[in-house]
Amino acid sequence: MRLALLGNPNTGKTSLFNMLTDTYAAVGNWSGVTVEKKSGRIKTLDAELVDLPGIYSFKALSEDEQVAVRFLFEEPVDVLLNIVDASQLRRNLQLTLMLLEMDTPLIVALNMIDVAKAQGLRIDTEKLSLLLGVPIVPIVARRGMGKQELLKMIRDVEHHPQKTTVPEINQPAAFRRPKIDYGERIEQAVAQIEVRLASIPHRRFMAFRYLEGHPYVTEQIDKIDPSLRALKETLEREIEKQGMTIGEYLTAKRYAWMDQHIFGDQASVFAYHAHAYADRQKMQKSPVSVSPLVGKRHTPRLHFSERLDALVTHPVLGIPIFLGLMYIIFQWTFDWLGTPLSDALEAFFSGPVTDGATWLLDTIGAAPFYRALIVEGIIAGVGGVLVFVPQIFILFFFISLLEDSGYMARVAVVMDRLMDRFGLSGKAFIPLIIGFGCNVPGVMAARTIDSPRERLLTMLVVPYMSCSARLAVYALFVGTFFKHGQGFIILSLYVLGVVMALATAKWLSLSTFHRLPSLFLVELPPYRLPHGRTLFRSTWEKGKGFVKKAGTFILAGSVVIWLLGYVGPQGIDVPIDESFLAQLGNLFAPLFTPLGFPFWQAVVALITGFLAKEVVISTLNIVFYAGSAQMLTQALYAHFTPLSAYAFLVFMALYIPCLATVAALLKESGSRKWMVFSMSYSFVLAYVTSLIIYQVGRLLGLG
Amino acid sequence: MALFSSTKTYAEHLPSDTPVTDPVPLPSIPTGERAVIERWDALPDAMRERLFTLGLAPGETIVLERKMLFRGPVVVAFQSQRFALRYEEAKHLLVRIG
Repeated sequence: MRLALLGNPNTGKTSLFNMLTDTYAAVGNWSGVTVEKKSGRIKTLDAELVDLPGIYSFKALSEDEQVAVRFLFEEPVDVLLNIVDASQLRRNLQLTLMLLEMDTPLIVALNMIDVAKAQGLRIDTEKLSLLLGVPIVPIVARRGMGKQELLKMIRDVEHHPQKTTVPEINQPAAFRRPKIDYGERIEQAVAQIEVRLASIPHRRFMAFRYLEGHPYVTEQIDKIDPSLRALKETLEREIEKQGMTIGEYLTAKRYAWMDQHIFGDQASVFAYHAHAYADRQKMQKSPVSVSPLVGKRHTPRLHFSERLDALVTHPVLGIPIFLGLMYIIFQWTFDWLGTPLSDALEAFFSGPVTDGATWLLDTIGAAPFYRALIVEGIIAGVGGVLVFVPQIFILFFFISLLEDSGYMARVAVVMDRLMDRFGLSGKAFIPLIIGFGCNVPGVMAARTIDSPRERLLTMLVVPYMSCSARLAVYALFVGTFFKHGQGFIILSLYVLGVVMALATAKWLSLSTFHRLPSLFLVELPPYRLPHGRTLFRSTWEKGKGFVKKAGTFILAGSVVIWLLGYVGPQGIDVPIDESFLAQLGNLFAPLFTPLGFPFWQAVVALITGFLAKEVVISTLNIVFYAGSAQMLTQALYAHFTPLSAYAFLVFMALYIPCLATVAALLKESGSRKWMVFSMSYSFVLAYVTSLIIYQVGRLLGLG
Repeated sequence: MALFSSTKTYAEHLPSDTPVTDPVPLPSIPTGERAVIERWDALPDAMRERLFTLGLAPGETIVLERKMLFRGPVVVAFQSQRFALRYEEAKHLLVRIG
């Protein structure tokens, strides 16, 4: 059995997905956390659950919405699980009413009933369930409430797909649709279209989407019967006279129906829009005749969110507050917590671990080759990377915190005007911040941007955000060469990345990408107190990739690099300066003379860094055979000056994105051309910037 | 009787005691002010349809919560939802304070 999870953006779909499947997917408090469909298994039911990006309607505007819509049109689904935010019931039910036109059985999971209750909303779920003709299960997905009830309901619906467990409505799906008055003309047109669609499922649903002008459905139905076009166009012209599209007219009808039957308001604005002119004359504010299924709110709404927003989206203070927050995050990541932990871990690797391994290898009488491989290759290479786990986890913790709280959407608003100057939108800010953690999800998060040009532009500049892997390299060098102002120097590299990203965006938007007006509509969800367990899980999920990479990719890389340094043209166990590795580095070393690091070790580190940026550390550890931090420090001192070290870091910050990011760029842009552009442009940009910094620094007498 | 015969806009159906001043662009009203949307014909189609889906339409009340500097985005609240939209689009929402 296959279930699809559908609902408005930011209603807790992914939380529900996590609750039902025991797997973990990313959760955040902003629209667009899920940009791809994710699939998991519900073990107890032996069912597949597909988590789709949130949609408001079937008129998809951005790529992530398109993913959800396309899935629904093309993939067979046995049960629709429609998650509805109880605190935003009216808007959410708009989608539910559209989904009810499909033939697939549907269950409504009424989420965030705790929030709704706190707002003073009383929802009569039983009556609502009767009215809509589908089962409704109240849940609180974040806290796992309602899980058993929902599982039971899914099981019931699976066994009786044509029925619901609401006893009064044991009727086939087609007969239990709420009777929404779309008007005679619409119903006639729908009936006429339905007749022609005998061969396809969800006829009524498809007919409505056709009238709305949904591109995919229009294409399909044009193939079946192009003559339906005339019918649609006549209707379109008639409704146009009222200043509405068919889509808007249908929306108005659904709202009017809801306002009357659910909210007890017969004379709402939408009732007005939904009525034909003749009826409008008669429309007057009449006393409520239907008792509402939803009680009125009695508490002032969103008190806390509004007060906090008065501060963080303040026209003047908004940006300083954001920068201040970033500064505090960096302070925690390095000076206050990350670096001390990292130092302790480093002492552990170079002390007990190395000594223990050496002792163990001596005891079992391992051959010198294996001893060198393990101690000088693997422990130096992998250990050198693992040392940075604390910083990376702390950074990911803060990114998760920002995501979960709802602050990200505010940042998009606060930064929009500034980003607009560079040809980007405020929405681009979210992918860029995620890029600080890892560029790969950053590139993917660009899907939430509706304009294809802005999306591509955003993807191309995400790699200039210094990711956590590069952070590890910065931390190593800065710790070695700069005794004071470490946080400041690292911040300067991040700022340099941001400046280059913006400059690149500006340049591209002026030259290649002619600006088209794009849609900017960002929902500001109420702030939520981040949930402890979710927070730790999402930190772990983001950070575990780094640890996993250390155990696989970097382990293998370390072995290969060590071996290349162990063998040379003269045979095995050669001095490392005569190894194949040195030869490879020496080949390109002259290129880096103007940048201040023309020695093969640095060049090899940069080459291997393409695999993953933290491999730079592994490589340096191996080529300098540094069993401890002190030895590496000495070796680095012998080769770099503080100026050339900074030039190296600048090159590191900007040069070719890592393999995984390049692959993501290719996949997301669908264009080899842009991938090649990104790689070659980055290299040139890194080279020129690093050159300027080194040469100017020398002129100033810094090197 | 034709079903769709009206060519009048929402505004023209308002009671006759409504003041006859022109509606003003949303960003021009003071922050914190409550206003009723009267016309939005100049809004791009995609934006208008999306706002309609979210429950905004001429006749609905909207609160201008915030204006960013330098004609940056504005934050609006309606029906306990809050959205930010750009100045360029918000100016096509013609409103009347009240």
